[in-house]
Amino acid sequence: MVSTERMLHLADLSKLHFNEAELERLKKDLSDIIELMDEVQNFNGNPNRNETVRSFAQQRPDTAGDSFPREEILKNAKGRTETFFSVPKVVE
Amino acid sequence: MMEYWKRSISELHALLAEGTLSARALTEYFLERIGRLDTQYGAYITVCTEEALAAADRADGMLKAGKGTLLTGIPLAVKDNISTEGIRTTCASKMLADYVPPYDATVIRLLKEQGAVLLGKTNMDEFAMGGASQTSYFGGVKNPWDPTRVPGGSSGGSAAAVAAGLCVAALGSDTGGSIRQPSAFCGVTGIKPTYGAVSRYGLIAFASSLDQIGVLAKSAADCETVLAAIALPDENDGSMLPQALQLPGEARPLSGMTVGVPAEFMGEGTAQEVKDAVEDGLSAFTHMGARVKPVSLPGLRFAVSAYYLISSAEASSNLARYDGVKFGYRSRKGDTYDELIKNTRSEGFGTEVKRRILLGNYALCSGFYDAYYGRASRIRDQLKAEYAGLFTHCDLLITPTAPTAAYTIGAQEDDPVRMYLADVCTVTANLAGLPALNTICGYTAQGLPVGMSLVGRPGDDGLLLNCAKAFEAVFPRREALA
Amino acid sequence: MSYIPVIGLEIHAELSTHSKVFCTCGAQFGGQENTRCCPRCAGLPGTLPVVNKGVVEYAVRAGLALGCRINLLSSFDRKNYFYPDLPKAYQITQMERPICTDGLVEVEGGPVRINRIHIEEDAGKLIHDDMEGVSLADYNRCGVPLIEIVTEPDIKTAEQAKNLVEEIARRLKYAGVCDAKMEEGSLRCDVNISIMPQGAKEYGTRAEIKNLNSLKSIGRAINYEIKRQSALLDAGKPVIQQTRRYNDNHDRTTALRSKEEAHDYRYFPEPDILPVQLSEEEVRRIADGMPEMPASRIQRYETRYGLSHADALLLTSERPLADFYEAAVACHPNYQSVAAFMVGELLRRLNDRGLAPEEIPFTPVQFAQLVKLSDGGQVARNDAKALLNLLFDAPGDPQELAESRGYLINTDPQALAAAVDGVLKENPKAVAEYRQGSAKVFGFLMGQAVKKIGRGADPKAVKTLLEQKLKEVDG
Repeated sequence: MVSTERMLHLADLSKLHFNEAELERLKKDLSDIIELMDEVQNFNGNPNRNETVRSFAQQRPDTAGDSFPREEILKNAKGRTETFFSVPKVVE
Repeated sequence: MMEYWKRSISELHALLAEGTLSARALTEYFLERIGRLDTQYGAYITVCTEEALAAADRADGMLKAGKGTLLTGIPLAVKDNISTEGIRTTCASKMLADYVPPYDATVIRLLKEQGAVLLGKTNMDEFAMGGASQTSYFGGVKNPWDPTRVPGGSSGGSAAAVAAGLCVAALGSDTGGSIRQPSAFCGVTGIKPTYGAVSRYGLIAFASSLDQIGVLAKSAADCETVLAAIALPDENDGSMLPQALQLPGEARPLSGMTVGVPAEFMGEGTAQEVKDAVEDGLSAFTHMGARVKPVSLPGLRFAVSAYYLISSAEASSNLARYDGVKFGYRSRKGDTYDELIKNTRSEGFGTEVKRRILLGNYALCSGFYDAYYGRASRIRDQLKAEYAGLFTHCDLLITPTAPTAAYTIGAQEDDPVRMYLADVCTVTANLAGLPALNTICGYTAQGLPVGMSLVGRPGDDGLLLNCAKAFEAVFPRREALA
Repeated sequence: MSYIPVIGLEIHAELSTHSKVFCTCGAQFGGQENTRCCPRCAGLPGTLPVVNKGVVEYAVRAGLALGCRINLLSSFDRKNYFYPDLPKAYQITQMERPICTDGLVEVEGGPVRINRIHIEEDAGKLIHDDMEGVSLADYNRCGVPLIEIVTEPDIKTAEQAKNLVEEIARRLKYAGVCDAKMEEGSLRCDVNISIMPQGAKEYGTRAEIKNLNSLKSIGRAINYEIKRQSALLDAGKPVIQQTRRYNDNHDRTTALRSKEEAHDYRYFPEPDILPVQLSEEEVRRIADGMPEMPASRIQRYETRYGLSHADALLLTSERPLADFYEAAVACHPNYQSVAAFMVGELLRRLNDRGLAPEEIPFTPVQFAQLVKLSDGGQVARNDAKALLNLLFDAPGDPQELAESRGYLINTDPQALAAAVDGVLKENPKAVAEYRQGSAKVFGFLMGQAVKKIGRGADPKAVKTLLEQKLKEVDG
């Protein structure tokens, strides 16, 4: 069973918050899901790492292109000035 | 009255090319159908009437100038997690309900170059997380075969649109079966290409190492036509295969091919009527001269768990950017940055999405990484090795696409574990990066379609499509609507 | 009690490529806010990173410059955390398999091992508006390529730390990968410092110091920390592991409200980027294509050009200076003379004028020509120095400049003879006095001769000829 402490920690990492009822519900859901996930603990194989790589030669050449017009970048933001994204202050 | 919605792409192309039918008329035809029928199914989130008609007019221009291709003037639908410039792209989430991308996904650009017509954006599970298309912020999708049943997910809108004749073909995305399973539930053909064959640039990411854009259509032939247009190398996606797929694939007769059937997929977890239908399908392959034999994929035991650990981990990271700062929903509450983003995310995401994010962080967090994400990655390598082993003596593999046919809406909602387990037939193809295609191999006693999946080596998409074409030529397919 | 400081540095250097590390936006410094962005670096949904080949090459150069092993296979990872200057809410970096490891830099105070160099993307900039209670984000800097250079904790003193940063900056500039300006932020340094009692087997608890904007701050912050930590240990109190910020004005460090434990970065391999595979051949080619490093140049200056070690060090202290010297001697291969003039005259003037070597207003060729004029005796040494001053204000052809100012020594022997003869003829009384033994009158005759020749008189030549002619008249 996933502990409340762990749930709160996960919620913080996920930047989500829950009321008590939601938290209890999710605790149960997550515990059930983790039980299924724990099947992987029975895996003892040691296969070779199978990864595709890309050669240095195939990487993108260092050429600069045009940037997007500022308005296109900002237009979907709900909090903004004319030219900046705006967020409430960050508490250090 | 020509029932255009029943026609294949090549048939429609012939009519358009000879001038019997204009692209505009064809687009109007589909827009009318959508307007009349889609309230029953909820397949579309956004219908792009103006843009579609404008594209149709441009297509008519191309055709008149003799520059038309197979897809010119063909009306298509696109899953709403694929970015379309100037047209809202919501991922069926409150979080992106009014997000308008400033750029087109590569696949959209390629289809536009062909002169295809984009009818609209289809409904789906929120952020592509789900197998029933019921978690959408805009309301669930209903199966055209039986509107009390789910169409499957997460590309349920695309599947329903094809099945109900609300488009000629559709783009979907598949991370753990999200094209194949709804194709099976909706009685259509769907293909998830080899990982890296189709550019993901513009696909709003769920799980980067598993996601692929693919095609749903009424036939394998139509799937191939659309796939050929989008499976091209793209410098915007650094995870792509170095070479384009060979489409059509090398023509090989089915006789002389070996089809492997991994026994683990045909066990207790799969409904009898599904197994029966798949056996019928296998008989057809035998009839056509293929050699069908049982094989084993022991790693299947760990597949669902590994899939959920990896996909949730990647999703938790991919979805971290949704915080109300740059785009999308922004909560009205929040005096500090931390409060704002927590409120935005808590208000903007649905429950399943939150579950996956929590699970993902669980799998990655300090002290847990090795046991969960690390292990899952090794399981993945193991599956790749097991598949590679099978493909040394099989040309392709056949499995059921889903353990059951389409089930009633609401039947599995409260049981995430049960929903996850239902993905067992499809997730391994994503984990191993293999091409996988769903075609219909039978119908249940209640008349619901049953799908079987053809799975091939990386790059063998053409082979699968050829086999499916041969199979579909001898298998009489039914329509969802009369 | 006296303690041994144990210091390691984390240095971030902005690479001077044309485009950003994962997109094609320009990577230059500055620009109006949010005008150097695209959907990729702004973190818009659906976008994907694509690695810039130039960044990999520059990172390899940096590794070679710092004596590192180049890892032929390296890969990228995601570092996940939320902050308004990080649009994707993760930074793409290299954790598991960095591009370089195991380097070494020798500086005064001792050699310092380099643990790793890895590639990562920079974050944007935040402006805090306390009046409105908001922070404003500018994403221009998002995606600018960085390398992070992490040293082993081999550093023992503030001086050694400063020397190391200076040397790394120098080599990065030499390698042509970074302009290494701390004041502009293209080179940033964090310090990790702990202290341990003499003879102790284990390291003490360390503090991380951020916000160091200059070499001076680095030195002062380290010395402050040594004092602070020593005082704690002397009083029997523990040093707390924390991040501290250096305050320039008050010359001390203060603790940031510690959020260290909250930062679980949940690193995992970046799925959108395939691992990068280099070949030995490619690394060799990168090495061959690199500008020559200081150590090699110093050796060449000493053995082939015969310069002193001290002069060689001075001339290679900065790459633009060394490049200037080499271009000058390519034009006028009097290595030692050019070096002497640079070391003796040019460097001082740069200092006085507060100019950096890359800001020298005249060309190396012009400089070389000046030295050549002096070496050839066409311009007197003092006049050459005056010419140098003029070149700063009005760069141009030194020959023309010398001519216009009359600095050119008239070496024409006939003109010289005519002038001297003339003087002797016009001043018979003085000549007679000289013959009678008045040495003083020689000076008068010299003055007349020099006056007659005008500017460009070479006093030595005049004296020689005058003496000679006076003897002749005698005899």
